[in-house]
Amino acid sequence: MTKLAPGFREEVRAFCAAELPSSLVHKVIHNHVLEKDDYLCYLDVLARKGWVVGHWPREHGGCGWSPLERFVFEEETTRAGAPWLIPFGVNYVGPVIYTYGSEWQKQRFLPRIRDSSEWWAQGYSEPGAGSDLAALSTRAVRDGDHYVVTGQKTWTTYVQWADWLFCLARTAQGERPQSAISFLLIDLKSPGITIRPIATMDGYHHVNDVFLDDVRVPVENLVGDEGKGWTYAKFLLANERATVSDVGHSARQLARLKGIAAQRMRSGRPLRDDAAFARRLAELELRLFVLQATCYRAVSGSMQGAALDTAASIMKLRGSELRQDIAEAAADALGLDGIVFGTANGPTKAFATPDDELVSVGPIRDYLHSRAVSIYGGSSEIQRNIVAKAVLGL
Amino acid sequence: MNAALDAETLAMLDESMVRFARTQYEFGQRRAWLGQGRGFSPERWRDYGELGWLALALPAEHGGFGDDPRATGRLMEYVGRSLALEPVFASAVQCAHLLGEGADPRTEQWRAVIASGEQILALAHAENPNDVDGSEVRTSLRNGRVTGEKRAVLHGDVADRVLVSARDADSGDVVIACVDPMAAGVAVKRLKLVDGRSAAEFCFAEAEAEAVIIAPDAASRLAHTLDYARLALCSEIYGAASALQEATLEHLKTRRQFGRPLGANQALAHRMTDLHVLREELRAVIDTAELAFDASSIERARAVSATAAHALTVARQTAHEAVQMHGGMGITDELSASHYFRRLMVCTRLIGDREWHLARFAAATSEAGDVA
Repeated sequence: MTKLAPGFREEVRAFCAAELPSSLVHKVIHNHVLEKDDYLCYLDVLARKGWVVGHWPREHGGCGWSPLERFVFEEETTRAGAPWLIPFGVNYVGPVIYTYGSEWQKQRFLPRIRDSSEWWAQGYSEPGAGSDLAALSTRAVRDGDHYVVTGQKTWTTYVQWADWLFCLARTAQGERPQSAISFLLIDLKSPGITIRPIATMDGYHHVNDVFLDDVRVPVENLVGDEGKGWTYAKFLLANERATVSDVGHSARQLARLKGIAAQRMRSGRPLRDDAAFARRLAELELRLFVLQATCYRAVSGSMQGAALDTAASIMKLRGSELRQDIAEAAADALGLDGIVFGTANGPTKAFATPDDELVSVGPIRDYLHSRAVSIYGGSSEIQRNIVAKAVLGL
Repeated sequence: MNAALDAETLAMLDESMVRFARTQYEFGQRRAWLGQGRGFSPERWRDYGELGWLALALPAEHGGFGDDPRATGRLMEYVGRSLALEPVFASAVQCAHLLGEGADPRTEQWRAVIASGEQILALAHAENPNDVDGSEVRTSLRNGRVTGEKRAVLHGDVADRVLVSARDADSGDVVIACVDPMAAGVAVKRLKLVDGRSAAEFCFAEAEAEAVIIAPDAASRLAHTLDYARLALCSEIYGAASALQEATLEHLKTRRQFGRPLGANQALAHRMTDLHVLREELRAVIDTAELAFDASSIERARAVSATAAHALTVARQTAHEAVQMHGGMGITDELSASHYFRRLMVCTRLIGDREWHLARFAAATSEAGDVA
């Protein structure tokens, strides 16, 4: 059982209070649209403290945080109004490279993840391979000292800002579908790559289709062994255990919801004093309490084996549901304002930026976006299947 | 109940609307309408007028069925199913019903232009967005001039006239004032709703009321209209939820994962079944409430709030489950699922707070029981 170093949580809190720019916190708390510069601003703040890759081992430039410390860092920064620490480089491909990558790959890629000079995106899902990821059909065919990659990736978050794509592709035929998959690092400036934005219902540009058409990838960009990509992908997911619950986000949104409920007047008194709404708030608070306890149990080293493996599924499942229900309650608390998504001065466009300063826009955007939380990163159905099979033997 | 509206007439109306939705309101075309002009199709609006649909909530002499809500129910089902963008609800349901059969000649001219679609009316009522029962009216009418603010007026941005609920400064009674939005003293802020339709926020500063209508019993007529509109929105939810469930079912049958259709997973089949059950129940309670509509005010309140509370459950569960079962595709702007999701969001807000409907249903039930 790991214990948190004395003063660590307080240090993170003090850091957030002193270093996070208030304008950035305002945007985050009110769910305004964030641009790449907003995320860069946060990364700069972290870099000055040496915390961009705090959970990496010291030999690779990290602080060697335990899972518990990493969890507390994520929880406290998110709760305080820090933007999402975009995980594709820092949390996903970085650890894969320092664990399985070649010396050359470590030298080439890790420093630029640490200093945020290169941004990464994840090329996993495909139109025909979502929850059933092993059904992916993007092909990488060996041609001399290159792979030639062809296929389509989808739901690729923030690839419009990225320099590199880590990508699962099929390097062989037959056998078990999982055993023919390889893990490739692809320069997004390569010829043959087309990026197409996907418009989503929250009106914000998160995700994209990425078309790969005979893209030539040097063999030195293969991570580990050919055909072992599935193993590395699973390692990556297991490494995500600490952050999947997004408990800090729920804590922040619940605080925001309580603020809304204190301001809104229903039948002459604040909404939070309405018996039915007060009960709803209490239920959400309870679920947050339960989720926090579940997360601490999972990251404090007291669990082992299958139980630990499925703890991530439980946290993802409950974390998603809680996030969604808080967002729904916040939209409900706005009453009739809960449908006002902007001021309109022209025709509706897919990417028309809603008027962020309207009180209702942020909560509505959060509610709409929250519906995706139980779909991405392993849907709730997949998480239940994992628990049913791995723990219950069903 | 209006004798003219027999089962056969209703069925014919229903059939023609379902056909119209399929042939004249294609999803891709709708997307184009949403992005141009006033955000709806002027051609379809004209069609509705010619087909007589905009008169359904008006008295018989205009070709409608008066206070009988059934024909309006079918119309709103069409609106939900097709995700219609035109101001049907604002003009031909809310305002048409509010004007009712009042003998005032000034209301006569508005009934005629509503029926033809020549002009658009909108109801400006809500002031506090968290007002649950529609009773908070602070806007005042003094010496024929209106002062106050109205929120989220659906289609208020395209309205030729706005019917404004206001309190008469002398009597304190609620009256309905008809205001030209272009008149001096009217400030309009155009809003975009989450489903892409537009609305407006009005600020009246001693704006001239062209007419003060249905003054003597305006409060009870307004209450009647709010219930009529809530029931109509239940039908819109029924139409939208039905179409969304059909699209979801199709997805479960055709999308394959792990070597079989999604629907072959029993957990998903059961969840889809639950949605279907909810929808069947909604059909039943809407039918019941429509027939109870001209009964006593207690019975009406009981039936409408029961239907509203159930419709709110149907709307939310269908919206959430449909998106979840569609997976990532469900949240894209490209597929209709996310558009139904957003329309259902708007319908639920307009119907109001579920807890309030539940409490009203319970109160009306015990009151009705006490009488019996």
